[in-house]
Amino acid sequence: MGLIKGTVTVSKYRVIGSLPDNFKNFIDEQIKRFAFRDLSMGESEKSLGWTSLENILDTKFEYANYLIADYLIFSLRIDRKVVSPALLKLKVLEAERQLIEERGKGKIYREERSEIRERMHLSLVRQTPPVPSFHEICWNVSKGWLLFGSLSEKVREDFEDLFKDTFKLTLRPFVPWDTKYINSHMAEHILSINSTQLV
Amino acid sequence: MNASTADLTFLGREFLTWLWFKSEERGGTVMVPDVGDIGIVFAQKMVLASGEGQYSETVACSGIFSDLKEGKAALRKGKKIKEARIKLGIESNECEFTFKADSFQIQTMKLPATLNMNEEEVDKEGRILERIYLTETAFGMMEKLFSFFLNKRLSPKWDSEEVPRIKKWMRE
Repeated sequence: MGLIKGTVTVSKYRVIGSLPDNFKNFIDEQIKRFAFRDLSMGESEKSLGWTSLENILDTKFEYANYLIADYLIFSLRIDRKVVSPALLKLKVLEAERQLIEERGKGKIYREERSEIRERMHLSLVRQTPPVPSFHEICWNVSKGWLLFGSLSEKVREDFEDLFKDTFKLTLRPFVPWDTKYINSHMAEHILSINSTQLV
Repeated sequence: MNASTADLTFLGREFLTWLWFKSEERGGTVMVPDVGDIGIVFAQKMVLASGEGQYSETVACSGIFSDLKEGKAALRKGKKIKEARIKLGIESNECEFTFKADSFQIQTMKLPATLNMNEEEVDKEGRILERIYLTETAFGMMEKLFSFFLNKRLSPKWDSEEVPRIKKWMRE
């Protein structure tokens, strides 16, 4: 996103729902509860959670260091393991050849092929190091909007799901033609128009 | 069609296309009622498209000294602007960013350097707050411009006055 340095890339959201009266305590508990856990991922292909903006290794959020003026500022860390399709194909072929040699006959049943593929995939996932990515968040609680530092649909989906699990609030992508947030007369008018033909 | 299912992204592309026309009409500023002049220039790069999904056709135009003639040629073929590199005046500063019309998003925005290095070291929070302020202001100005566009778009004068002027500009 670029809150500390560099260029800024952002998606804007409306935050839908309300926080409890003691929202500062609630946010503090929840952000820690859903903080990124630097555990061995094992067979898991994706791990995600919140981290501090200024220190990406900080997941303790001591002294509510995510609170700056009216804003809550923190990061989403997503670690992904991506298994190379070419390597998986190679490992599956090797395993199939080995099975044929052991049995001394050329036929492999569909269920066996599927089981081999699954086993090889899991084996490669265990050996693959995760690739981390960080995405900044700037949330204005009183005004009910939030800026998120990614335009990627896949990342945004992960973010929206984790945000809902953490804060029990829904995020709605901000567009100024969202008829839910325009007076009803104008919304009706907008819904009745068609695209302008300029040629 | 109800509000939750309507696809109104065409309004985003119409807005950006209209904004290019409007900024050229007054030499790089758009006069927004109750707000004043907003400095806005389309710079170097734009993507135009027609159709949706597998029927979509896209044209990309760029060039440092380009006046985006190919962009206007694409408009004459029925395309509208899907994304564009924009220079937006914010107070005495200027921000430059790629604006995505379909989703109203800002990409790779260059912010003005308003704090010197020593201040940056001393006041990180101040620097973050300033960057948030500039980002929020850029969004706010695009929202004001959209609101100005929408009022025009829904007015009977859209078809009778604004569209003929856009068509005349497209032919220039």
